Amino acid sequence: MARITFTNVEKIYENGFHAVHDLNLEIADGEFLVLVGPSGCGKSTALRMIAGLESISEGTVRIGDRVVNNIPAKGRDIAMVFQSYALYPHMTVWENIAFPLKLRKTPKEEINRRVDEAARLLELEDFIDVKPGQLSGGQRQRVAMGRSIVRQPAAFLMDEPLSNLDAKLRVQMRAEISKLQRTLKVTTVYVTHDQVEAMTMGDRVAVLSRGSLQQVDTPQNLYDHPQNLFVASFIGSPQMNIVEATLRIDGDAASVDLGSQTLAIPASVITVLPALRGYDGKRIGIGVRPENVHDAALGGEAAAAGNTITGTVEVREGIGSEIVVHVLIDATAVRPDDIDDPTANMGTLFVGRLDPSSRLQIGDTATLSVSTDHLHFFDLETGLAIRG
Amino acid sequence: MSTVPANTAATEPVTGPDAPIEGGRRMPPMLKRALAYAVLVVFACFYIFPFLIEIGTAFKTDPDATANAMNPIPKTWTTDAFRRLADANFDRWFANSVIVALFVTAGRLFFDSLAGYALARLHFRGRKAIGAAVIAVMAVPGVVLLIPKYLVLVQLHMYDHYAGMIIPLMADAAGVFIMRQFFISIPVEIEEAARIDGAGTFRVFWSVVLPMARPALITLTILSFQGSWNEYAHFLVATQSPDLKTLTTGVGGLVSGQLSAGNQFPIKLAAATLMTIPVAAVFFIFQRYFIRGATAGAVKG
Repeated sequence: MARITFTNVEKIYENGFHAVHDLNLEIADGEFLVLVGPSGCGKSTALRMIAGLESISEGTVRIGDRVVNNIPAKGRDIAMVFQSYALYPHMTVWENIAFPLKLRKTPKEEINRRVDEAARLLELEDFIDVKPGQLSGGQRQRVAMGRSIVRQPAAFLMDEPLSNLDAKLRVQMRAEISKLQRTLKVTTVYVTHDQVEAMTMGDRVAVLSRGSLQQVDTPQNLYDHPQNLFVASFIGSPQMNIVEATLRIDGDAASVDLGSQTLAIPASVITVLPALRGYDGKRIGIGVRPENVHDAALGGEAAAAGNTITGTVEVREGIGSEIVVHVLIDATAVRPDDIDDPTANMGTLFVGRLDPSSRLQIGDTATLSVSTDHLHFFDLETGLAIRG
Repeated sequence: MSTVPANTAATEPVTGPDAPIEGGRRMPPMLKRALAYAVLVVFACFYIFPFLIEIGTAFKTDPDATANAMNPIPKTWTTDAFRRLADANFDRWFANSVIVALFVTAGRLFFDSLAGYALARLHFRGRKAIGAAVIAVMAVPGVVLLIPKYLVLVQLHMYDHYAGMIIPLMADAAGVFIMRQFFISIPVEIEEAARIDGAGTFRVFWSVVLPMARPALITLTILSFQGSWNEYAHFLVATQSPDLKTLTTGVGGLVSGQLSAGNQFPIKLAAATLMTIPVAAVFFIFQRYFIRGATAGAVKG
């Protein structure tokens, strides 16, 4: 087991494309770190640089105390699980798992022992003599895991291993991978574009965008305290509502003007974030997570305080445990360029996750109450969260 | 329970192959199929008939072959033609053809697969230029290279020697191209996985990629065996000794030399029949792999 360290790492391809910018990241020994971000953000490139499948243009990558920049893949003591499993189709499950050990000239008895152990751990005993073509997606994934486990490597690298599985199997395999990692305590770097996987599996999550590291933190901290607009928009489903607003501070009282509507900000927020005073009269970004938006008709603290906004219900999705509404309001949305927004052509839609007893229907004029003690504030020029 | 009204006529028009043609009668399906088979049988006969003539004539006497050339059934069955072939050193020619074909096939499997893998997966300076050169070579007619080939063989002291017959044929541009296209179609992640597992470049090729290339290798086997078995021009310029004649040059000499007087159909066609058997056997044994191999690269490439 070993820690993995990126120091000022850059990756520039021959055609000039700058895939990774000045990456500095340390993955602790035994940690499960998830690299997450949209397609093309550089997460797979970063993973492949650890593996030795991509060269490093600048900076250093260390595995343990060794700088591995010029060490070929086979000498780095890492094991990798690919999105497409990359099993050897002409070999049986047993031969696939044993192959890395045979390459290292491991004694036969040791190979048998390790392969049998891996097969037992991953419940592959019934398929040990079968070729990968006859296995299901989940079984192939377990064989790929088995091939990694037998090596007892310093680190596991996983490149979107669950992307090719159906939704139900993905949930099951997520749990199995997490459990396996906790059992083996091997440093694991896991790449995914799925933020649900990221949030549920990682000890820490590193969010990347356009080759740059945006924030690395525990899942809950990322969710509660995003450092910038990108992280705020990327983490959380449905996406955080972020709109432009003008901040007005008058003594201890504060409010934000969203279009023609005004939301009061509790004095406690200004106390916790005194830096907001520097934005008095200025336009800032206001972020509200959908779960902090409620149907005012159902009452509640926020409704009683009068912190409401009004708009027209454009979309209503009842999913049993809640109702997700998209309400058109007359405020200007703030969208980071690299976040895909399917509602982009629909105007400024404010999304709320409402109690299932809400009676709102499409076309209704909705009054939504907002929990203002869960607001997020962003500097529109830098994109950074306003802190301190 | 509701009653179904009587005399309910179908209001949906009948479509498809059994739909009636307006103003005419449709051919019954059975008759259509019988007609189709009849046409296929006629074409099959056209293709097979020359082979039947070849085999039948090999067992005829010379006068019978001349008088009844188009009749595949001999009036009198005789193995005289085969006996005369044996006297004409046919067994030596056959042995030489087998030796050359086996060595050339093995050589092409080895070198073409190595070259194809290098062009598909290895990164080295000049790779694109070499790849273009391989394709360009395929455009050059073989006959243009005969005299230069002869001169090179003489310079290298390989003229009139097995080496001169075999070595120049041991790699070919078409085979390299076939293997290259197949290797390109193999997902690169499999090779990356092998590298991470600890395999070096040659081990990745030998243990992982080459076993996956079985369909392409079998295609190459068939094409190489056929090509070298049927090779004529190269052996003509590479050898002059009677002991180095193969079936093609030997039978060619028969036709133009001692038997140029008279038709001599039985002996010529007896030779042709014997020459066809090994190649036909190789093809029939491997044909399903051949067809699969011909399309394997196309599907993903």
